[in-house]
Amino acid sequence: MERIAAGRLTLDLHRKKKFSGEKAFAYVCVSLPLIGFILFSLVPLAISFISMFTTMEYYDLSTMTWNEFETFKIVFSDQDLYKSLLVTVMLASSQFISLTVALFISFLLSKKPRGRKIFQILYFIPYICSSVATAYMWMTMFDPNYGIINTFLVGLFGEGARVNWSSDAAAYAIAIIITIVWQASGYGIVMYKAAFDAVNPSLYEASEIDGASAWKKFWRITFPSIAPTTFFLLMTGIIAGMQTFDIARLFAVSFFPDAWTGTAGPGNIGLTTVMFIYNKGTLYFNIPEASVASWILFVIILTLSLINYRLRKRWVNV
Amino acid sequence: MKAYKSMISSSDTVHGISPRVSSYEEVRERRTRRTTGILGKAAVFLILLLYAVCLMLPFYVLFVTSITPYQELMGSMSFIWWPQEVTWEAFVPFISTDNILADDIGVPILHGFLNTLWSTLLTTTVSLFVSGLAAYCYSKIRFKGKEVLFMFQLATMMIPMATMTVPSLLWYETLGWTHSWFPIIIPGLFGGATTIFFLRSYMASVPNETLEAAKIDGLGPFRIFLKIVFPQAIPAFIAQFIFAFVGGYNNYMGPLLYLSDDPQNYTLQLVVTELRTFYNQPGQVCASCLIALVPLIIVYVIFQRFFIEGISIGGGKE
Repeated sequence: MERIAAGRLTLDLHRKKKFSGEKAFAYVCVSLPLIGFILFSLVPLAISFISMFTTMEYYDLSTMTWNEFETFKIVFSDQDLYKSLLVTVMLASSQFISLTVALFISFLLSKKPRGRKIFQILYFIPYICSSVATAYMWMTMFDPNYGIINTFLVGLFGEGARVNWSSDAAAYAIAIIITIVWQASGYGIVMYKAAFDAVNPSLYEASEIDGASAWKKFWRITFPSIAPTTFFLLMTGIIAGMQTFDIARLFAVSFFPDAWTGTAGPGNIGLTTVMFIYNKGTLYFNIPEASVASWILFVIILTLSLINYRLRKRWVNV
Repeated sequence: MKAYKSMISSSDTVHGISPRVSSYEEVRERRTRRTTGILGKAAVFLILLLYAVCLMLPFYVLFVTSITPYQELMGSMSFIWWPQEVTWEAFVPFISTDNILADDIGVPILHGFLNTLWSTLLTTTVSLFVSGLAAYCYSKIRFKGKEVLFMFQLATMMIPMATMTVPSLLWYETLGWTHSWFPIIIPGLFGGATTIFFLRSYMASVPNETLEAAKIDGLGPFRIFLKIVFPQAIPAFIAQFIFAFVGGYNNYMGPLLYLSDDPQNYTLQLVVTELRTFYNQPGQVCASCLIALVPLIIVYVIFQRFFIEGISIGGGKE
């Protein structure tokens, strides 16, 4: 009896020792990121949520007072909010252009042309450029007088083709979209290139024996094989596009020196939702109103992420 | 099909396994395929070259504009491909102490670069270290509640915290952290869910036998991580490091919210945007962008293999 008890005791000791070592280590390591999440995500989320139902002075939590949904009434009757959502969707859908360009270019790259490696290196450079530099360089490109874009347009179609990119709403939107596409397509090319390389070559060999045309081969073999990549790029691209801020704000501030008032291009055509939030929160020091708009965006993006997650899961299983 | 048929007929010849005799049709088909092949290759190359030129054009514009005298630029109604007289004057305020903020920041670009460098390196390194440890525990150590904690950690990935950037001001103001580096640095020190998830799936390939052997040798979990797991997962760490570093280097909104009111705290991107208030001639804006872009582009060209591989493996697994 005693011997068994002693045996059990040493066993317990052994277990305890193991716990105090490896497992304690694991709990510490694993809890750090979770603590970070609670402190810097959950808490701000909660505060922002509560703030929507209150009025407060500056950023002072102690001045919060319940205001009977007044904030919601103000924000939901603000035409700028709806406009900003439309603008954001428009800018986010420029992803389709980026993706088409990326797909076409990486398809050509998969033909293994000369200098493929160097092309690939060059194509990725815009993606690592800061949005600050990107916005300013494209502003220079779009200058009505000495800008290279207008020089091309005038050279091709005569003086009448000169566009004033900062005063015409449609032109302003096109300028922003071109800038975003220029910066974004590099990522798509790299991802597509990896997807093209991963297509099973025996599928091509089989179809060649069947005498399939290049066109058929692309739509029957290549396109289905890269569909998951397309979907991934589309979803992440739209999610990122819904949060467009940098380029939109930099364009606004640079083209219009009085943009501290929050205007963004002719007829506010460059006012994205995040910029709307930024203006409310920092120019008018109104965090409750900023929070309402933030939560709208939060719900939209969360929904998109969940759809993305679900469909990807199904895709992998199929 | 034709080629297939002629192959059969050629093997019917007297020599049996003799050199294949090509039929007339086959020769003709091969010849046409070769000529379209060459033409096609040339077309592919030309399109790729044209695309590369379009992508690189903004950099040329940036450079030429920065060396063109202000008077010449203002008097021009079209793009100046090369100035009549090259001037480097536009660079002066940024690369010397001959500027309006010299008392605060000395050489602006250098000041901004150092600020960006220390803050980005600090968060990136610590975050990777913390994430790496958590990933190691999730993938290689058994402990109670692991599945639940990991599910929770995964779920945090879905939360689009980026939409809460502005409302978070409220929390950081309450902590007394606005107008300081803390909101930029501290949250990043706790690691990131995406990084953990990615590193964990990479570490799964480290053989358990090696770890068991190390455990028997008396190595603690921390040393096992440092000496065995980390060296084997270095490619994954490099990939994540590059992601985080480029993101930090180019970060605009964070510094804009918290650091833009004190020149001492200007990051590289803020130097470019804030000095525009004083030096807003096109040449000066382009010059500052150019100097801000060059370091990252040089790093990219040297380590492009890691960038591209990192992006393609990192993105695909998210």
